Amino acid sequence: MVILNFTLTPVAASKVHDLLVCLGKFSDTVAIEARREKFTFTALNSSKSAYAAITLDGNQFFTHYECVPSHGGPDGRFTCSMYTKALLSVFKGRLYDPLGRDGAIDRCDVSVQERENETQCRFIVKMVCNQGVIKTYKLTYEAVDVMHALFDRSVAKNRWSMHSGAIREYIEYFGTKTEMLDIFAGEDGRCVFKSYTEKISNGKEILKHPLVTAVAVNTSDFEEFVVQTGMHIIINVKDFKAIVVHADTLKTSLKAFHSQPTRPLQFSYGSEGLICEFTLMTAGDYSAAPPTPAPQAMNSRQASRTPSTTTADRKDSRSFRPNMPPPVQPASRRDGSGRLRNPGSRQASSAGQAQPSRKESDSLFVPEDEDEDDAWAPVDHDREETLGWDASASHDAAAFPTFTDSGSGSRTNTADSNEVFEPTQRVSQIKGLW
Amino acid sequence: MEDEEPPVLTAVSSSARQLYLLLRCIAFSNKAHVQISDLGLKLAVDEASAMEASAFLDKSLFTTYTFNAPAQSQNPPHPDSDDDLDPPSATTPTFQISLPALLETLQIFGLTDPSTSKPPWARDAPYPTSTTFTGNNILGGMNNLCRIIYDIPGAPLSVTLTEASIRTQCDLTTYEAEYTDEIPFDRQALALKVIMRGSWLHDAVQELSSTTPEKLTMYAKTVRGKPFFALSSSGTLGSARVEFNNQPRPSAYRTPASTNLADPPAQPPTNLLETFQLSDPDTVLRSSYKFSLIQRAARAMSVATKVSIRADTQGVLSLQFMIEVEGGGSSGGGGKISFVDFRFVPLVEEDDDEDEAGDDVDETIMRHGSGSDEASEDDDML
Amino acid sequence: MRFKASIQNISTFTKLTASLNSLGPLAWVKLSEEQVCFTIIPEQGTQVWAVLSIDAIFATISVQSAANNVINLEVPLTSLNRALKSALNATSAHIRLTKNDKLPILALTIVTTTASNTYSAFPAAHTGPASHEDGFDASFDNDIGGGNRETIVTHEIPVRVLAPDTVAHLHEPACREPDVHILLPPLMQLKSISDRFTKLALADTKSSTAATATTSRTRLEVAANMHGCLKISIRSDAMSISSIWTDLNNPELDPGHVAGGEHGIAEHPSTRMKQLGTADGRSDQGWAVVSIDGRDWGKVMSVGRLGGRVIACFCHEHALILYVYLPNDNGDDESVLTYFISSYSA
Repeated sequence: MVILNFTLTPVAASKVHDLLVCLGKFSDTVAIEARREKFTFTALNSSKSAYAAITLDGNQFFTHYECVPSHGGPDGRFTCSMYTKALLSVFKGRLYDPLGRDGAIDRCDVSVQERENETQCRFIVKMVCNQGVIKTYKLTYEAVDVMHALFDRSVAKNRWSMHSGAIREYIEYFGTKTEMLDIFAGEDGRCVFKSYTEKISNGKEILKHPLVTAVAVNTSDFEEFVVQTGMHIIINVKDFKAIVVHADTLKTSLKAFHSQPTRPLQFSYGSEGLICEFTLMTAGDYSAAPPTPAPQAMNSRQASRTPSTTTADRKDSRSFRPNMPPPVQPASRRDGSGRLRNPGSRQASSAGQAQPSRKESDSLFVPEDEDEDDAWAPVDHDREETLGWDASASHDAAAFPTFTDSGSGSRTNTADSNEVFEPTQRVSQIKGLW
Repeated sequence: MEDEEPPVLTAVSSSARQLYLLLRCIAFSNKAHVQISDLGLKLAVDEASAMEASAFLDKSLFTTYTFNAPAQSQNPPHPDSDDDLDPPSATTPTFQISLPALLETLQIFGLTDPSTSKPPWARDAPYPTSTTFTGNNILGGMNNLCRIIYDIPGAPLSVTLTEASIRTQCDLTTYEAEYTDEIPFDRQALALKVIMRGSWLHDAVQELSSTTPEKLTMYAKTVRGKPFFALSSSGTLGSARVEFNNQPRPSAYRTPASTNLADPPAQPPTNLLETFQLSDPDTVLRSSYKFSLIQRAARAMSVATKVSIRADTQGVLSLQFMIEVEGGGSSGGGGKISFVDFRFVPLVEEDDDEDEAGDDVDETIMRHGSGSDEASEDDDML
Repeated sequence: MRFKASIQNISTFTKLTASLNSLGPLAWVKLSEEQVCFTIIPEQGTQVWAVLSIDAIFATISVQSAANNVINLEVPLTSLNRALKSALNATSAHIRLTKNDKLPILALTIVTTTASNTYSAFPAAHTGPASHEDGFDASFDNDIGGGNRETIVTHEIPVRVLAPDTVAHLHEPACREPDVHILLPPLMQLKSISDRFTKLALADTKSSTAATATTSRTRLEVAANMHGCLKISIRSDAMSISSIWTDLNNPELDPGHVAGGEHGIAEHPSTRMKQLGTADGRSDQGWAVVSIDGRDWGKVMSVGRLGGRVIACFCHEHALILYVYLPNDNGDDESVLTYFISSYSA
């Protein structure tokens, strides 16, 4: 029987809440791996394109930590899997409250009760609150083997790092319904984060298309920026948002490591005995890449394999812009296989003519008081119905059934969620992985 | 003909908010029974005979309260605010109205202040008693009047709100009362009485709701002379238990909440369980209720200063909430105490000392004496 | 075809698009160098015809096309609004028509400058070795102007270019002279109360089965007289409720704008309505009444966020027309949104 007991301060318990919120955006279940000196939460998303590992240091993160695995000696470990939702119902927000209001705790004791009969195995969390209230939770868990994604930083020559607070500002710009994020190292000293969604179809449908948003940042605003110029790295924008939002709860710097498109990318950050590593599969442009499973891979891998006409289209659209010479194609892409779906470099030039506009407040954008804004919004009297007697619904029923059209995007996602990204690690590594 | 008789009821309040706060506690049903007496208005709702709830609007909540009993009326019932109302007398005007409609109407007050999109008090403030800021809207504008008139039996219940240059009138259709038997609660045969802060109970029930349980089980016992009270529940993902121990452990991390300036002084000084009476101190009291019904009282828990939790020997649970609403009554002086009552029929214990349930009980709760006596009764209640 | 403009009033533009978006997802936008028109024409419900002076939103504008230098676009308002929202704190914002993959887009480019110490203001509990300098250094940088981060954000909004023929047959609805015209109270008051009325009426249906009858249940009666009174009311099985405003203003008609001048005013329906009703709103007479859908009305009221004066013109049992004047600096009512709301037949 394993011995696993640990104690958390209110601050640490609320950090567990934050990290579970983050992991919950990747997977319904989290795996736990406890070793003698550290405790790790891991999550793998259903398409196996994103793997997260958050490690808590036994000495630094906990006020008390004891783990004696039942076998395996010094390298032994205890592993199990639990529903993220169940853990979140225990590690709620507001566990730490400097004012000591209700809901705040004095400390959190966790132990594991391992029994022969799995139905009796329990992960026991005891929240000791002030004034003699004690909340005890016994959660069921499932014994699983925990696997880790391997990532070799020594081959990840490209790296950058930036304070999470700054990136947090950037991600706020991204449209809510976009799916992909292209991180592009331009030749003009800028890095462009571009969120977009693969085109669904033509005709009137295009007006339903989510915003394409490109955020151009001076590379000098990074703490470190060593990325091969012209490289496009494409990841899932929701993954990126989840990571940035969590990193921002720690007020720390986010570091990225990657080698080349179609190879994994790793984000890393941490503080005070908490280390977060997210390994994400990437797509993107790379000269040597065979007909790439480029951006469309997320939507429809079948379609992505047929050559698209986008490169030609792009050229047309560029020549249309009077003020803007088409950017020079990076050498790495001149062989024509590059698929310039997402260069974000072109918007930069208009900045020069920019006129100052009214500045309303110092808050982050959307400074308008959201409450005030909500107050003016029409009341949705029938949320559960579709769009009942709504003028907007009938305007063009075909093109605009409702504005809750995100379904189409997410549906395609789930449709091939079973598909795994191309194995891009060395085969020897993959075998032992998932 | 209306001209000849004065209205059965004319009641004027300068704070629709008070009425709203109290009535919102029982807002889980479409129709409410209204009972008018010379002591005040009682509004009652019930659900499937398994629970019932009532709020009493004492006449002192109104600046004017004039009741003219219809012709055959005699002694109205005698509501004792510390206790439950007697069964309605046949001569007391009783009818049903749409409770959501009344609540929405009462909320129209304050909406018209152009500076606020939403009346501050319509928000879910966990402690309405801390109204330093939330009351401005009502207390500031004494022009705001809420007038309730019931003209003659069968007439609509008319609520008129006047505020600045806006006058709103709502005529609520009155429906025939449907008499159902009250859930019998034997105050003379109490098995348990606990008094604690309403927010503690609220927090506990919220906590347990995360397991999405079917039922809530209540335990009470005396351990080495000290009271112990716990609520537990279990669902598919696990179980949860919230226990209240009367010996506050010294906190190494922060001062107890009771010293917090933001909280009103009304809370008990040190003891979590202000009152704890167990009729048989040698046994463990254990009784279960349908969780979804208990949750109906969540709003009352969240606003109540104190809650009195009582179970009779049949296991019927009475939750009585003491709610302080700020001034505005004829007395004019400060907080006014009102009461909202809930009653729940217990679930039949199924002798379920099997693994899951037994697991909830675990080592810290002695099992002897549990369940067996309750199991024999109340079959009809389910 | 060429359109580019720099936006000077992002807040107004944002609120405008939000208000319009509540009535329909798509706007017909007519651009010229004289004015900008936004039109929403749902098949059912309220039409909006908005005419804005250039300087209500743009600082500079350039419109060139083969069709008299007018460009007609069909614009998805949700995307436009979302893009504009993110520009509220921008130091500059530009919009222009361009193409992407042969598809026309409006590109909104905004530049924001952020002091690099903004996030250092939140003390990091602990930062890694590669993290930011400490707050003191950062703010020092800022003082000498060297520590600002400039970010350029470009949103691409897909649009459709409409041929002149497509929009040639679209005309503003014509209406007879109104019986009552009145300056509305603050729309937030009106919206809050009418929303609650609608909710009340719907609360009734929750239990009953008649989901099909919801439209008639949310039928809101709006009435006004020529003595400064406005009344809204709704009725359901469980209740009937009404709110009356008094002491509102009935603006005087301008002889210059009424056919027939002074004589026209004497013959005007509203002049006759002045003979009826009272200022306390208790009389049954003198009301011009329209019956409208409460939910549609709630969407119309969303225009209140623009904060302009609103004059309501009641054509008894026929239509309600709202003129929303955009507040501006020079006191002219150059920019106006006109809402055409049909009354249900009684």
